[in-house]
Amino acid sequence: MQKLSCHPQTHWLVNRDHILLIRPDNGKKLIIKYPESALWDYVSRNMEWDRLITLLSVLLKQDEKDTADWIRTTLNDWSQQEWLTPEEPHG
Amino acid sequence: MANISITSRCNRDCAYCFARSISVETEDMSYQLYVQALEFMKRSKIRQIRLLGGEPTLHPHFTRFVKTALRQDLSLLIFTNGLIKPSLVDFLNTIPIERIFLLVNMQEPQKGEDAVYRKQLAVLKKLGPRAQPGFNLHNHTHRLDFLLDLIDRYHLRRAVRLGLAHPAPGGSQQHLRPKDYVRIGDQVIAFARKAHERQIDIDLDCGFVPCMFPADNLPPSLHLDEIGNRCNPIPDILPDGTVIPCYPLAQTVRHLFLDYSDAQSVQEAFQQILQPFHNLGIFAECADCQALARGLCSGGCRALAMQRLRHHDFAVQVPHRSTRTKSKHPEQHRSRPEAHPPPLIQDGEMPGKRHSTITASGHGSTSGEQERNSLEPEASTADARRKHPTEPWLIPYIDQPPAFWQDLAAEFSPSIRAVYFPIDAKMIGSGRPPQPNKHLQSLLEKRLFKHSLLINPVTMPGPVESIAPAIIDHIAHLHERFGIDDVTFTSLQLAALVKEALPQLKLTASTLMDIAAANQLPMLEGICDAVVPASRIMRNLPALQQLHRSFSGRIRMIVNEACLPGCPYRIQHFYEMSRGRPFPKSLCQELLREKPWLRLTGAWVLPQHLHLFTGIYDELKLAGRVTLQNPQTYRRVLKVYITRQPLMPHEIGGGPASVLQPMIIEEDFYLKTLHCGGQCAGCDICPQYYEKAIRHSAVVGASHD
Repeated sequence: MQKLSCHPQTHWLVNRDHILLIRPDNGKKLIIKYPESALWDYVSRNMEWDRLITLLSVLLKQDEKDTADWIRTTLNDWSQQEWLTPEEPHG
Repeated sequence: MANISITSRCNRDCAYCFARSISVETEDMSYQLYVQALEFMKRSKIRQIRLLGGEPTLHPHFTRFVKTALRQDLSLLIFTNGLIKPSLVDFLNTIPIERIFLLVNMQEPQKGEDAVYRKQLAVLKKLGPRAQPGFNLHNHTHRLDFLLDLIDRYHLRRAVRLGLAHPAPGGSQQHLRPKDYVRIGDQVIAFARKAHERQIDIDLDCGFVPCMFPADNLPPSLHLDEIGNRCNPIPDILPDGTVIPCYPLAQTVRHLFLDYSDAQSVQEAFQQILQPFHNLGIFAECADCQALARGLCSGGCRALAMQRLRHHDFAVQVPHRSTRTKSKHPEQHRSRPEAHPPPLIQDGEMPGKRHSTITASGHGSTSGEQERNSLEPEASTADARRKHPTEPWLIPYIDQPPAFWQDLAAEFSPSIRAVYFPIDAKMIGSGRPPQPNKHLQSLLEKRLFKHSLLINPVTMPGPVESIAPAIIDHIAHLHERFGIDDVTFTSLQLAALVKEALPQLKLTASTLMDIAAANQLPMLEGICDAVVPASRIMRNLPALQQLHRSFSGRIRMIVNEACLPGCPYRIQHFYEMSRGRPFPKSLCQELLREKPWLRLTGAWVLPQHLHLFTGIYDELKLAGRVTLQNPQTYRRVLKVYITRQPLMPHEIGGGPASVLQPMIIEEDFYLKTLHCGGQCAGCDICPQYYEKAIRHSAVVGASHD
């Protein structure tokens, strides 16, 4: 299990057809559009993994395994771009 | 340009003032610092010194400051509220008009005797063409014509400066919301037309945006191309020598002006820091706006746009691969799904309401998104029972003198989140008979605890839109004066209006709002930060768990609510209580005589059973504004709940549907009632338990006799 948290400096702003991520500390911005914006919205509400998959696979009309892969990839991208921060597992 | 704020003193108390929320280490600027500020201005090639405050004329050395600037061949523009001592007005009038000018921020004349306005008029009369009136728009109902009349009557400079009430750090003062802007635009246009007819100019201050105004049919005095790009912060030097880009952005960046050679270098530093927030726009539509794209507008007040930013802590647990269900369609794989996106913002929706706003320093407050504990009840071990966690409790106000509250604070303050009290009965009343509140004021003033306000009549006494303004004013007053930032509502409509006007408040949906299922939660989004679940699910663990899972805010659980779940008499009972029929006159008494065991189904949790609810509440509320008015009982019940010692249900201070006889509630029985779903028809567990417990109680009572 890997835990990804919101980076303390990540802020976001919801516009009509995208979410704008901002890092005030370094000036970085990222526009995320649907369906990534939906994923951001859900994870920012602390949605659990299984529910994320269920909802997004319905929204995207895609099977759950592919949805899970896509979520992982997207979250991993956000983590590498430092919008999210990986937390080391305890113990 | 740069401004020097020489004092934070003020002799007015404007609800929209964005200056008063800024803390400065010293109230008045020292003369030495002022001289350094003048040198800084001169190095910056600034020849007009703009003095502001607070009210700058209240600085004890105001005349000296003015003379010093004049001696250095500088001119002065003074931003004043117009409440200037007559001797100072005389002094200012001795100076040539081209050297000193005043911008007088007027207040709207009030009906009847209005001492402030009268004083302002007296000053304007003396200043004449040395003064120009200004006005800060803070709602859309202003009647501004009086400004034009003043110009004619006192021969003031023929221009009016109009400003917008922008948010201040912390956002606690009254300010305009983006959705107000169009109506403000209409107001400004109507005013500008009248001004034009009287050959009076309109100066618009920062923050106005072109889309506030219709593109055609503008009065000649308004020029759209000059409107949208006024957010070019002018450094404000504060009395303690710190410098900020403007008051609304004071929390974003604040430096020492002495660390810079001149105003331009300060401005460059500020621009760099504020760059990430450039062109965010105050509306969701700004992102697609051609005026913004073409540089004709920068999206309005940057501080207001920044209020749209969201930040809270969240985390997602990503399982390792292969821990989830297998693909239903293994042949299908797409690296990036294609789908038709729904708009993220619907027309008319105000973004940024659901989550807390941030400051650019990144210290956003959270919206209760802490990681949940396990939703399953913990094992009912003796250890868990003995554990006395410091939990956040909301406790009722009862009318006791300060000593009572001091003792309470000394003993329990780490556990007490707030003391709650109902809004003044004259204002709207609550779902209870009016209660004594002789000592309330002193309790609020002492600030021993945080306080929480209840606005919970079961029905509103009139159309919500008509009663809301007075309530909003009252809450704003309580917020400013006593720091009250938590309000509980029974009316979602009223809560929405309050949230719109005072977004910094944390609002709670009362148990009377009857929130019992996850599908009700979207209705609360952007309005309520906490929910007190409906009493009909307070003894329904699966339903509580579902609610807790689905709600991103806080769940506040009442521990000693004793109404029957889903009681059909409840609304009428609350209505009658609010009309003066006091406890314990209750409408369920006949029913309870016939089916006394229903008393066991009430929405109460005994302290010894609280551990069964672990993980599904964020805070606990002790009810009892009426039933716990005896201070000894109040204190004992509170203590027992906080320390989780055992109680019997007749001791908890529940209402008239409580269990009235002493009886032991065994945990096994109680646990069953948490999972039975209230399937009372055809079930005899509670009737049998009640009968047995009453018999036992009689035996115990007899032996004690």
